[in-house]
Amino acid sequence: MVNRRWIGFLMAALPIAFLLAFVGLPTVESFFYTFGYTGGPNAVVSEMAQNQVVSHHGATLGVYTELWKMASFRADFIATIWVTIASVALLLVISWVIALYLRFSDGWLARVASSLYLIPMFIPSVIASYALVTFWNSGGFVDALAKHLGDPNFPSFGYTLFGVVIGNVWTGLPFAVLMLASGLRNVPDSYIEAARDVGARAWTVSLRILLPMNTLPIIIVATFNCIGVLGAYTVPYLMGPTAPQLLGVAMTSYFSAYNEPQQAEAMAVMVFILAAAVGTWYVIANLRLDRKSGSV
Amino acid sequence: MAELALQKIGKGFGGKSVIEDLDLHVSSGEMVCLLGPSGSGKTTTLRMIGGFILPDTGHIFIDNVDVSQATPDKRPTAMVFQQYALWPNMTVFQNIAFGLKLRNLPRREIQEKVHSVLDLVDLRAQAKSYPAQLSGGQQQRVALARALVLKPKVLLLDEPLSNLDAQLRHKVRDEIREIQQHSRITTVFVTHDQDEAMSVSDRVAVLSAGKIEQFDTPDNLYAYPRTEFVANFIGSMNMFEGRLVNHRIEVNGMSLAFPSRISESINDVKIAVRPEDVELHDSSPAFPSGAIKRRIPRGHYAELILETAMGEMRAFVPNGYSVSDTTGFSFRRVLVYSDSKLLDTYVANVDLHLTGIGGVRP
Repeated sequence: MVNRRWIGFLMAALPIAFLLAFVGLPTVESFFYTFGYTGGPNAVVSEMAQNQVVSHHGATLGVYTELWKMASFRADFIATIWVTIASVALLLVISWVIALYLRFSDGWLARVASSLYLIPMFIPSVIASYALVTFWNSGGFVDALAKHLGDPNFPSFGYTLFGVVIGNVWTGLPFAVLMLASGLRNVPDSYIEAARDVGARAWTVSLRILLPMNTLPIIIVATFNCIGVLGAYTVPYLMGPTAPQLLGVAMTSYFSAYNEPQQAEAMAVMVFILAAAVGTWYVIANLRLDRKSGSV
Repeated sequence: MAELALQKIGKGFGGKSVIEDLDLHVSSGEMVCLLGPSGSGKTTTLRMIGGFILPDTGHIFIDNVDVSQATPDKRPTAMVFQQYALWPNMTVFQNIAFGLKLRNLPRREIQEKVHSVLDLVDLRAQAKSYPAQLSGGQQQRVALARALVLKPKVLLLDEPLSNLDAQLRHKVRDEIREIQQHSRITTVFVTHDQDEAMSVSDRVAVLSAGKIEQFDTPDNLYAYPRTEFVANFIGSMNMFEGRLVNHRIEVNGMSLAFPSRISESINDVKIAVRPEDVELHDSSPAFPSGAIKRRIPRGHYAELILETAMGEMRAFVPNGYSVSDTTGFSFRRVLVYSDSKLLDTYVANVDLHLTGIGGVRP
């Protein structure tokens, strides 16, 4: 019995030790670096970094206050929040409609759609981003078509924040539809029929019955995409504007182009706090659902 | 209170007919049960009444209004589903109030109606509970309350007791009947449990392969099953194949005397005897005999399985018989079927004489 316990512990200890060594320690080291600790494991990076805030006694919030004083950072931060909220909201609406269609239709079109929505999963985001930019950009297909049809001022979405939102929706769509369609499939027909029986129309059934009964998959889609978009790099880098930038792109610029790793890591800490807040909401929402279902 | 009429209803799925030319008339305030084995079409019929499936042919009338093509929200019906289908994200109160809210009733009126129906099903204390926090019986009553609160003209119950344990099933069954009688609401109840059907219904429609075999009161169904299917499906029945020879029925070399007139054109028949109509006697040459092969205790009586020359036979008898005893037997009442139909001419002749080979009952 004791041997078994030790075997179990050792089995768990190995990956934990791996994670601690390769992820945990660098994270902690970076975290302290953002509060001005340049000694110990941060000594090497602090030798080369520029615009460093150093604390000789205790911690300092200097790098954070410095960042918040910069108009460009504030614009980047607001742009990141806006793109995240818009991407997740648009993604939820589009994937919900597709999932509803897949749940209630059984024709050939639904069967085709049930395979098509997975396609973005197999296209690398770099390729997809280029494709979207080429399609929506000034001089791209849509623009050329609009000009041909007599509208020379058709707005192009390439290199705009809205373009980034479209890109994020594209990359997040397969997972979102998969989750929501699976959640909708798990709702027995009798729940829907019971609602129709008491007089609910399709719209009411969708909003008052199906939506609350799919809270968990919706929360999962929202939180996972939210966290993903907050730290996204490829899509905002390729499709986004030069300014404001999303924090994922800004962090890279600060880290490599400006050689200001402390600022980049402070941004990462702020993104982490945002992601952690979303994660906390996820846990609380889950607990509430468990309470309703009687399992807590 | 409302009348329900189904006229020549037909429904098929994937080219296969499930219901054919089905007629059913349910009187106002009546509780009718659709009883049948799996695949007999009882749930399909109920779902057509509720509007969840539209009939391919025929008409459904509620109080003489044709609702055949109306969607569920346009029909004056309410359904209690087999799995109750209580929305898990809503409390008991919210579940019941949902339909009333859709009708834009004032808040005070909604509260009054919901509390009134919660009192009816004795669940007022659970108004704020979520369905997952209730027992199966309580969930069943909430589902019933949700249907009743809308004051439908016809209440539809789709095997509402099938998820309850035996003890609770009896209790809830009686409660449903009591509530139905109290509200005098026209009710159609689907079940595959004959005991359930017989004990709560005013009339029972026995379905087989999409057709009504017999639509009658529980007493008549039991005493006068008009088809061989109903005879076998309702209660326990001994069935023996026989032939009509000189106004007598011969079964495996034994002979039943029938004092009634028998059509000359009929040859092959089946005789059916309820186990409680098998009367046991002391062994004597006056009666054919059988050996008791098995005894199944049923509480205040016993079920015996007899090995006789006619074949295996079940008998309900008072306690006191033992396995391997040999006993004489006769029948108090016999039903005779030809071509799966009851020849009711002979049913009235309860005083039948059973004749064994080489011996005639005096």
